[in-house]
Amino acid sequence: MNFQKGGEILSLYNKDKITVWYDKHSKSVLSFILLMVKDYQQAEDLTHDTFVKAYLYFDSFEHHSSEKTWLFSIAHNLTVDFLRKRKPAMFLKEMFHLQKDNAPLPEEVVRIKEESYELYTALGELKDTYRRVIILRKIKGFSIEDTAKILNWSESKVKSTLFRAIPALKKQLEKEGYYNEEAIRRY
Amino acid sequence: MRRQYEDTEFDVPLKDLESNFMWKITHKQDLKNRILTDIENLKPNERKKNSIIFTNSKKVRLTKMLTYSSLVVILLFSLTIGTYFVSPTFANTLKSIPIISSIFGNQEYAKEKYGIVEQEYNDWSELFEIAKKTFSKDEYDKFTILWKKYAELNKKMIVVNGKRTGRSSHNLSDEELKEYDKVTKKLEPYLGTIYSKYTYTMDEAQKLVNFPIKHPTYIPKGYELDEEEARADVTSGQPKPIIRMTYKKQNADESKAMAYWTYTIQIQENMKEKLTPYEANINAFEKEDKHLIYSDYTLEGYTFTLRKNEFGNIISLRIVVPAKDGRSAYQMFIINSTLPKEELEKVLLSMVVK
Repeated sequence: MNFQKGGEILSLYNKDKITVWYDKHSKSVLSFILLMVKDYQQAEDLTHDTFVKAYLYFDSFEHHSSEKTWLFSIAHNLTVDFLRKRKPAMFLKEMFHLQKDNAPLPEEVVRIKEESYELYTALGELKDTYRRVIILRKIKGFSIEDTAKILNWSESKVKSTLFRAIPALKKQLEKEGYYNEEAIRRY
Repeated sequence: MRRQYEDTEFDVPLKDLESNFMWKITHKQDLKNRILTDIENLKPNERKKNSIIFTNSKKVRLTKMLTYSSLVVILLFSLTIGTYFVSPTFANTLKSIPIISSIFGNQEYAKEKYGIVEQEYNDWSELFEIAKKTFSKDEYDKFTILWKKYAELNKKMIVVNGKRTGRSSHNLSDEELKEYDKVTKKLEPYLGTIYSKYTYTMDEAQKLVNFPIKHPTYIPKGYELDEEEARADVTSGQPKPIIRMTYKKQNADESKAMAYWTYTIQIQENMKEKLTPYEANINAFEKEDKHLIYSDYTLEGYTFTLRKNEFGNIISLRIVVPAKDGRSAYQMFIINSTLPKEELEKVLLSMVVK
């Protein structure tokens, strides 16, 4: 971040922007990450990193997509990186298994209303690519174009993956005994 | 057909999931404050942590610490006295008892009491052997107390209904989670001290391994060496350094996943990777996962293994170099890159001494 000549004013402007974005999108970003990692503490940390990173790279934000798409793109990349990064501190923790989780589960800090809990559980059982595309397209309501940008996939891959993901979700709900026409019709 | 799944019977309930997700407003505000504080400090990786210590819990900890210290002192004193006053044979037997068993009992007991598997017991054993040699008595005692506290909290995360499971902090209460963070934070400098003994320069590493450590002569366009390191697992035996060279793309958009702008080459002896049961082993090349697909092939006389995963176009590649002219066999791999397979092949082949 440039702090020379008016850089501070720019920095304040960026910070204000991030504050507004946080108020508007943090809950959605957090729930997206939580659905991915199924660990509240980790989801909170990654949400933190998403907004700090958005601030740091604010200048590179180009308005080709909405701020929400850009934030989700950062959140998605950070989440994927979460399992891949190797940093010295982490290495030590890995070596002696000082990390907190490797099979995280949903936490009670956040609440999901009962009528949606079955879907939440079923989504957690789906393969990762299916889960991601359903979350972004159907839960978050992103367009195919924006979903492709966030996942760094082609639009056709988004469509074809979603095409397979929905029957998989239905099958999972049936398997868990949650799916019936009546339950769906009540919506 | 496609339209059928674009508009689905689940659209409304899925949409409702978003609005049915409730996040406590206090948590939201707390996180916002944390983010803004970190932004002001311009150090995103250095989050301020609450270091307030409540008087009561401090007293409790002090009492526990004294209790543990006393136990450790008595135990060590007994062992020392024992070696002086018992027969030489028995004294030797005592000396040959691993340190870990005086702290956590034998493997069976440690499994029962702390939930750890054989691999972890052995790792801890090595760690305590080294700690004993590295630290002063006072430091060693403190380290032991901290590790025992860690072991107690660790058990709550890995054992559910008497059965070993994957690690989950959800099994800890809020207070326990805070305690866990404090304990691991306090352990870090101790582990750092131990681990610094197993960190090497490239020249030092070369003296410890019987295979050539060579930088690639082929580097994909736009990339340059960012950092390199050589480290070995903590061991009381001969250290086996693992060498890592990380290459970074110049002027990269670092807001993208690292696999898009860095790649790391790992060089190590041709051994089976250590995988601890129930643990994530997230950076192991041999890790089995339903999302990972491995395929072997031969190129220029070398065995390659390609690993693809379902996260977009990210791949990993390994080459195994057989033993030759008195040199040991070794393997080199690149984990998680978006570069084409052919580029990774060129990088790895350029490192092989022919």
